[in-house]
Amino acid sequence: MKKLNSTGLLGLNRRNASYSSVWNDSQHLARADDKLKAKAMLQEIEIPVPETYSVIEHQFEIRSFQDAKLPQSFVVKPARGREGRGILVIESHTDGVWRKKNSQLLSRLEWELHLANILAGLYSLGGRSDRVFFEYCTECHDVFSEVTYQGTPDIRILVYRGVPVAGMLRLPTKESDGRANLHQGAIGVGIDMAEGVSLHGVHHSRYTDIHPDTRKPVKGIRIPFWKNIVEIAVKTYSVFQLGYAGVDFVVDKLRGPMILEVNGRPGLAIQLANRIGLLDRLNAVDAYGKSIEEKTWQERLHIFNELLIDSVHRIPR
Amino acid sequence: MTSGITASSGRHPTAPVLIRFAMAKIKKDTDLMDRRVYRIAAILIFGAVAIGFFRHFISLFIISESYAVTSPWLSSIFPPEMHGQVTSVVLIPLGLLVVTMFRNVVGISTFGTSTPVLLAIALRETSLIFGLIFLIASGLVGSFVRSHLSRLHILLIPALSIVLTVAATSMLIIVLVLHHQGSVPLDYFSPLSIVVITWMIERFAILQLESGTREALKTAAGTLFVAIVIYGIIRFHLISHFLLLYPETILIITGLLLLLGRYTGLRWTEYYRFRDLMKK
Repeated sequence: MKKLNSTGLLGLNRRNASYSSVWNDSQHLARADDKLKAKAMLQEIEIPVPETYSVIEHQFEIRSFQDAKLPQSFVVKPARGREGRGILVIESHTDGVWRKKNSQLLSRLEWELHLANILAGLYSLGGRSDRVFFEYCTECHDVFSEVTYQGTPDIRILVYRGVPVAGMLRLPTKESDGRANLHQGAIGVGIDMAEGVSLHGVHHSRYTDIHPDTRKPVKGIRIPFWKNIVEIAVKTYSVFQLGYAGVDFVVDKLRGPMILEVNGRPGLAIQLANRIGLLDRLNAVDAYGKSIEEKTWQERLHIFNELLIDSVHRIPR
Repeated sequence: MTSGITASSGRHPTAPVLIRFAMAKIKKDTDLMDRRVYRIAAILIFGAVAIGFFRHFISLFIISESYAVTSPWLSSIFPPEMHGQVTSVVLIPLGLLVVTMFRNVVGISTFGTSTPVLLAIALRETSLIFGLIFLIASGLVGSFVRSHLSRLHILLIPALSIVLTVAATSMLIIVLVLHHQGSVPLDYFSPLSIVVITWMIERFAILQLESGTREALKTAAGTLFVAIVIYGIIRFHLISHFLLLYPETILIITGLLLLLGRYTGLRWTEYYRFRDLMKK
């Protein structure tokens, strides 16, 4: 037990008592939870997000919805969905038949039922009624396509008081059905914060170094646009004011890094992926005093770089 | 500024100093907070004990005939005709304390916080075995109906309502069958058990949709386990009598809950979850 404490591990109790409840205002959380609102706010300061094609708010709009206006490939999402639930990735569609990314076909009945369930709040936080939106389907960047199984991998950056403290590359598996969620069986891979190169992986709380489906090593992937990603993550703090947040990125083949969502309740598995407890890094940020939040994003980025040089954020390989 | 990222050229001396400084500051802040919580908790706990002793000694001198309960040396603030109804209520805080311990210290997940307590109280009314028969039978019927409804593409809320209707009805049928066989007196039937079990099936179905069957079964097992532990505690009449005689105990429980509210250590299940990190 002593051994575990000495690794500076952050548990759920401490996360709730000393971090997420202290730094995340419930009003600010609600803003980040609504993906449509969050996207609009990010676009205001010109942070790239996937383009929204169309929104459905009411049940009666489903029948008359003209999906012919949508491009062949798109994603269906609930506005307040969580853990990637209710997300439907459509590869192509013709009149009355939708083809999912995993080649399953959807009939009109199934399509309408799915949209109706999203509106009824089946996938949303607290089961409140929700909206559906259709957005640009990101294309997997070449560096990931060899390793990952279906789906698009995403990159989570844990941002504490506006300073990135840890990163994790999340690779979908067959088990996770193309979703990049660790609870559903995706693989989390730690990231060297200085170089943006992937380290070791974790699958269902166990260490692993290879992807279970593609059998390729997860180590040594150089994440493209790493410096941009870190910079955007720092900027996001000014938008949402969430002091303990996970910023989820996807690197699109054509359009580069984009923010998928900002999560105000990031999980603890990032510690397993990086094989390190978070407390040391969080304390190192706290050492900069009370007014980090009021600093400009450039100053916070500078703090991040200083911490890198101080080797706090680096992981012994 | 972005170009400031250079490969670590050995250890920079400032980092450990900064961390030590931060640790000291954080410790000071949390110490202050802890001290405030400890003070309130101490006031609640010792205050309750003091009130209890005071009432105890007073009652040695003034014994009211009409309010005398089981013990001849103590009077209760509740009139005897109320005891039947009040017993379950005074047991709720005690059950909640147990649930809090299991959730925040052990790390077992349950459907909500009050569900295990209500289930335990329902089990106390129906007896363990019949409660479990109700729960398992109606749960099986419910999930059977649900799997068939999903094939018919029924919308969520109507489907859930049908499942709950069938589950409640199946419990009624079980009661009827047992009654006509003559093996069980109808005392075992309690409306509370049907309410709680219906509620549990709803939570189970929702969690199953949200997080998958495995997670839902795990949470259901956790709820049942905690409920059985609470049932094991509250079935002793001594405890409910004690709580009826000394309702001040609720203040003690509140104090303990406050202390639990400042427990920021790892949960026991987290030692298991992070076992690979431990094996360094």
